[in-house]
Amino acid sequence: MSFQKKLLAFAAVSALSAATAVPAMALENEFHGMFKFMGYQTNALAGGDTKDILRKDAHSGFFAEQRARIMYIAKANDNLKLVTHFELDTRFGGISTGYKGTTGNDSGNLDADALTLETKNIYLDFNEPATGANFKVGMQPWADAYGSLFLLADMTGAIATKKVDAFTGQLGWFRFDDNTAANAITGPGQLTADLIVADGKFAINKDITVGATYYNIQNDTGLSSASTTAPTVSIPNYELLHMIGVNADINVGPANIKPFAAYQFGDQNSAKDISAYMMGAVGKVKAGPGAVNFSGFYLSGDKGGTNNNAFQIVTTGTTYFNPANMWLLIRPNQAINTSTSLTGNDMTVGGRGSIGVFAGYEGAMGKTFYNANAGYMRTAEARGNEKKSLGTEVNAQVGYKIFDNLSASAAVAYVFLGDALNGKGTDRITTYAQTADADNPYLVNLQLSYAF
Amino acid sequence: MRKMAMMLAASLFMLSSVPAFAQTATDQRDECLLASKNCMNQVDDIQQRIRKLNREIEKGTRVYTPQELKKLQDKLKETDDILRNLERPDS
Repeated sequence: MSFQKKLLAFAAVSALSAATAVPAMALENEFHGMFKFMGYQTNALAGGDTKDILRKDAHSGFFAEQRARIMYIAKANDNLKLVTHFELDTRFGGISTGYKGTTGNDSGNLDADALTLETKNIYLDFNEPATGANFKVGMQPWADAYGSLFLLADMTGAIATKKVDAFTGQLGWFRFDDNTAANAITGPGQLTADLIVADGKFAINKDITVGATYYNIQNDTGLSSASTTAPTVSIPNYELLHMIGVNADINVGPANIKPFAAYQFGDQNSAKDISAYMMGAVGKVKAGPGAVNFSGFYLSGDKGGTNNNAFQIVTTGTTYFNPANMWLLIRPNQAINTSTSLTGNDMTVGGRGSIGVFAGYEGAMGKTFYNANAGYMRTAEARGNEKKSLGTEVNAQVGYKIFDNLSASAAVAYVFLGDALNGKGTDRITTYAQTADADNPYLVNLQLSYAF
Repeated sequence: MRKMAMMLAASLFMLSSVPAFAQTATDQRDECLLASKNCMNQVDDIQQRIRKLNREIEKGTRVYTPQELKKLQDKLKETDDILRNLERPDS
């Protein structure tokens, strides 16, 4: 082959490879999102998330709200992507008192046009080729292995995951608070709160996986310091927390059961130690056209003494128990902007601890889906003359899939308040029951839900 | 030389045929513009993706190697996580 022919062949092959290589190098732009509209007729909520209304002669009324979430993922390849996630919340008619993370109006006002975009996640997710480990670095969601009774939140941090055969190990660090002022002359990282995570899961066989975790919180945000930015009350309300726990995921015939238990110890402050525990289980059994759901938990409470025996969390707003399928007793797993409960999402009931048991059935017939649930909650410990029973909820929901990804549904929920919330005197917990002899709370929820 | 000519012709054909995919023939209806159907650049929504992944995983080892099945299962978990994150009921 002459030199010209070789050159010609090289040019032809180059052109061919360039033409075929273009799609492989292209960035994949992945968009996902959701939109939910919710209308409530209720005597328990007013469009906000502090806590439910519990009063005698509580007024019933209607309000509506909407939420959109937009997720954009810039995927270079299967091993590298940037995940971004944003949220836009609005109550119909608008509200201008710093609603939902925005300052100023939430754009539900006349002629809209307000700033409402909230940033939820921005993180890099990549598989490191040399070690085969996955790394997530940045502002990302993280959930505990305990039904989110301890913590589920978007946080800034980094987490590494490595799988070796049947074992999956995870190591992570999150800085969820830093009150150090910008350019503080006291130096960086003086007033911080950090979470360290070590998580191991081992699949014994295809039906049984067991796990063990260690979480550690070091909270220095409330330290007295030369800086004037130190908050008077630190969040969380303890200095050092260790939490060790075990969990499992077991399939037995048509049933799936996830039991878990954890023990907490540490320092609330220099004079008081923490010694607390929790346990629970979530289960699902296929039955007929659907499934029976059941779940329950116990969070230890505090009677007062040298040790604080109350189960510790980070904030009430970052705890959940979605398997309960409640609407009022525990925040609903379908909630949007208004996401609260009888105890203001505080399942520790202000340190009293709690016991909750829940059961229900869910199923579908063609494009129609339905569920019905019942649940009971009480405090673990009573303080003073307070009673323990918080209430019993019954609820039901029926929905229809208008399209594959758009459903419309209606739900009703009613709570028979327990003595601790509808008492007439010092027997009630006044933090939640705003007046004596509070009415039983109820709600009717109408919903449109689109996810893509 | 003939080989060269064939290669050049093939590369030219491939290059020129790529843009043709994006257009419809003169006597064809543009279903993409008309009804958002058969769009060349359309992507799956999250439910479609979950359904497709489940369908492929069900084919099992008669179609995929164990490693490929593991990869599909990882992708299904990743997609489930995205949906769960989108629908998380935080306030």
